[in-house]
Amino acid sequence: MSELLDVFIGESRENLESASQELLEIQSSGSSSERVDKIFRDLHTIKGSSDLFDIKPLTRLAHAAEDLLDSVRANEVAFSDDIGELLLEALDQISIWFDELEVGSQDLEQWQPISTNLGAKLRYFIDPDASDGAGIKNEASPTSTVSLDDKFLTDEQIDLLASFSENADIKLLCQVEGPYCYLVRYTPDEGCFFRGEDPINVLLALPGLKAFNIDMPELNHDADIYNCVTSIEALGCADEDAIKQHMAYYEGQYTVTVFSSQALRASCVSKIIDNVAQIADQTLSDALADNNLEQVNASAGLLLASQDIGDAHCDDAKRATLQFLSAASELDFLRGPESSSVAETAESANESIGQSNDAVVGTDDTANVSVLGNADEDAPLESNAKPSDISARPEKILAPHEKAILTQQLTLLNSDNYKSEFMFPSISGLVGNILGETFSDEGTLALAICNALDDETINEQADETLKQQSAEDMSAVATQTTDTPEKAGNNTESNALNSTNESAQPVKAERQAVKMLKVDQAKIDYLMDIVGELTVAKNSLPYLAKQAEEEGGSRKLSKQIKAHFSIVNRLTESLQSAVLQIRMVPVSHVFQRYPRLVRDLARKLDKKIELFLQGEDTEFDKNLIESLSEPLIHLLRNSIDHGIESPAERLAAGKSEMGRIDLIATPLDDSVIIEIRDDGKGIDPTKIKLLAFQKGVISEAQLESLDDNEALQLVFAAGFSTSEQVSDLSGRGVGMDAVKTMVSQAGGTIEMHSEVGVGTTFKLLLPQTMSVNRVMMFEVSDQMFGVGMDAVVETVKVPTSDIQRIRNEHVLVIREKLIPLCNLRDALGFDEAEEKEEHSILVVSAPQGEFGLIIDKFHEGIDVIQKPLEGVLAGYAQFSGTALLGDGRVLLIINVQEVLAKCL
Amino acid sequence: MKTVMIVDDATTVRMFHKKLVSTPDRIIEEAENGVEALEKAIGTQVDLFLVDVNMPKMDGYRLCKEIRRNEALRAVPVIMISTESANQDAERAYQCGANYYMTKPVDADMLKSVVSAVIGGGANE
Repeated sequence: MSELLDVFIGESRENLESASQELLEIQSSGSSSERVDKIFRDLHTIKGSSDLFDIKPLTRLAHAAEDLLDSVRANEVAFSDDIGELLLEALDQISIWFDELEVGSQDLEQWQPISTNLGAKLRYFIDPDASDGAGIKNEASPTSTVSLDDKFLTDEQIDLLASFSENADIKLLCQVEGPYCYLVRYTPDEGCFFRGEDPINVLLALPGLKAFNIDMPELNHDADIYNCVTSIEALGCADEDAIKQHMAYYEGQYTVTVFSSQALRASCVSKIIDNVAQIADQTLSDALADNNLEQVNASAGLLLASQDIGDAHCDDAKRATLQFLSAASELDFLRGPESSSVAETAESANESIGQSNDAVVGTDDTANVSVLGNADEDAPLESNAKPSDISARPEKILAPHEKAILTQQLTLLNSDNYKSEFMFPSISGLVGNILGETFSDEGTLALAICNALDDETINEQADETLKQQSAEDMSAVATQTTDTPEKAGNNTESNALNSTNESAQPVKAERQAVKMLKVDQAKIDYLMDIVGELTVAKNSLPYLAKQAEEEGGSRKLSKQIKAHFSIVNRLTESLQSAVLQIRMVPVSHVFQRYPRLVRDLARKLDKKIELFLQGEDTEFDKNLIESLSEPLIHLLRNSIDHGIESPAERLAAGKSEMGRIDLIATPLDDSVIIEIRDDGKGIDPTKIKLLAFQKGVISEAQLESLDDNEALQLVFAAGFSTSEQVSDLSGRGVGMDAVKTMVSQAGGTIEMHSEVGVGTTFKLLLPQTMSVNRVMMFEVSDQMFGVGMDAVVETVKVPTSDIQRIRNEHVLVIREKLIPLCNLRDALGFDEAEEKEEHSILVVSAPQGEFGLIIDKFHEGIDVIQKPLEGVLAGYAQFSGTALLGDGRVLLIINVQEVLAKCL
Repeated sequence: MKTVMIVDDATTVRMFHKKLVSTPDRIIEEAENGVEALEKAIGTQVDLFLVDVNMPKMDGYRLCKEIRRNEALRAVPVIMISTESANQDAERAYQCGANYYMTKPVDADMLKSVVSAVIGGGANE
């Protein structure tokens, strides 16, 4: 998979997420134009970018969704729940496709029907009549106001086309196809690069594009190259609707003018002839000066001929063209082999126009052309071909008045008052005169008139012939027709290419204005690792100082090292917090997924639930928050599935129909408390106890002794599920114990409070960052251990005699407070220590209260980068992680809660 | 040789039209009204009628109808030339059997072209 695609998917996923979030917002708190706008922009970005990768089904689906939103935006369609549902479905589908794209298993063929289907559904909302919920294509009647009958372009239209260089004329003439041509002037928004738009690409994708011009203003050296200040003109063949559809997302940034192809063609021809006339004029005056009679004659003929064409204008344009051509070839003949520019021009014009007219006239040599050129005297043309046989019938070139007469005859034939016996003779005679044919009945007569009037046939035939000519021929002709052959030909193309490169440059260049930097998370993690190692390396300096003093006996050196250490220490700390800051993200990063989840689950269960988020700004280490995403989902599912009652039950219990779940994040010192609070039925401790007993989680004795709160915590015990019925949502084997394990692994704690009929609250206490910890080091059985400094309450040394025994447990009384003791040697599986007179006791706080850990020896506090246990070690819950010490030893950091659980 | 019959009660108009459509290969006949036109046309070869609308005795519409009813004249094209440009007059002309309707003042080139188109010839030297 290409890197670009990676970026695209990453970016688009964000867009998807934000769009679905907005959609949910709309569903819960009503539609607002800003929200619709936001969703529209998100989808627009996805659509625009996907276009770059040629993922047609995806693009089309996004396009459909975008169109629908556009209609909503324009208040043409009212936002309804159905629309929201459908849009969510579309977003989901796109997300699924992204998954496939990421693993490279996409099958565009299969996507196709899905895209079509969903797209049609979306479009159905835009215009229910147009699509019947099936076909995607909206078959609106063409809105084009351009008349196909336009003979020539208006002056304004010619002005519009002025920017297209003269040598493009013949090329255009030969390439024009279909009834309509367009000129699009596209002035992209200045900030378009920042929205990921590529104006050139937009333009290149225009339907039927033939030529384009890019207008690049001179840039001052202080100009902002990230702003798009270009405007582009494109000329091509397609109708206005197609263009509007293509440019729909650049509304206001473009103008489109549509001409009839015929008019464009005619204008091209007349432009060429004008050129020739100019040359002829020049040659004429030259020849007069030279007293070259032959040349005077020829040039004059050429000039007159070209003027004739000008005068004839649309009337007899084609016929006059032929006259002109014959004159031109005569000139060529007179001038002999050493032909100069006029002859060349005439020759090339002859070729180009002659070829285009061949199709119309049905002749292919100049001799015939000249005969036809004088068609006025010889007309009408005689032909034996059947009128219905269009292809075989030489096409009669009709003057406008002839057309008018024929049109009138056709009208007469079709009129209500038409009486064959009275009218047919005169009409058939008249038409016969004009078309040079005879008719026996109304049918053939009408057909003949239709055929003669049908310009489309003429154009199409001409087009066919033109298309057959190769592009090379065309550019060669174009080259010859202009005064400066070396500049012609590919001129337009190369211009276009150059400009393309120039204007594309700023897109590639680094974007200064962007304030957010997206970095691969692996890079940050790597940086974090290095910082960790640096911290460790730094920690070795005090050892070194100690060594210098003890072994080297140099206090001075020791002092210097210590001084140096303080500097390195300070820098490392700054570095550390800086790196940690990079990894801090607001919890909303994870929270924002939940509204959707809650909504979906609630719908599935026919419950009405609202999720309220609080403290989304609270920052969290990204790794940590992501590792918490799963447990949180599990807890939410539990609340939805088991906590919140069905609407009926709720009403019966005197609660509002709508259940409520609060997800609250609160920062507390270096920790964050996350609470999930529901107002559901709560958990009955007695029921829990009984169930736990049934499942063998607790003994009969415990059944008696456990208080309500302790009973509640039993849900976290392995293999416990409170729902009598395993639903498809929760209870899939991952119980609350899994949640607890995950939370503990992240260095956090979890507890639950519940009140029957009022609700349940899960409270997670989590360290804000996973990585840097201040730990207190201590020794047990010659092995170094650490405990998080935030858990340490105090350190005491007490004589053995002070330790008392209550029932089976050791306790210590400190300041009249009873503190249960835990012998770490036992808990960690070391041998019993020999009797000592004095014990070192580390008093730690745990959710259950304060406890004393009996250890061997205290050491200092130290900053460590804690790494989670991996592999087989990950199963040892009593350790929360490891850290490297400055001298290379490994420090195991104990998880106080787990150790206590083992101990007590 | 083709014959064009110009039917108009105004002599100047007839002369003007005659001048316009005259060519060496055309015979021009003239008539002051419909009755006269019919009398002259029957028994002769006429290839085109140029008919004014407002005429005494028999107006253009009526003449047109008569031409269409007459077996000998039925096939002859009729061009009507009127001062009224209203659509309904054109409509009526066509209903009466005219092949083409033009309004006065007639564009000289246009008339020449139309006549040439209908009966051929008439290259303007």
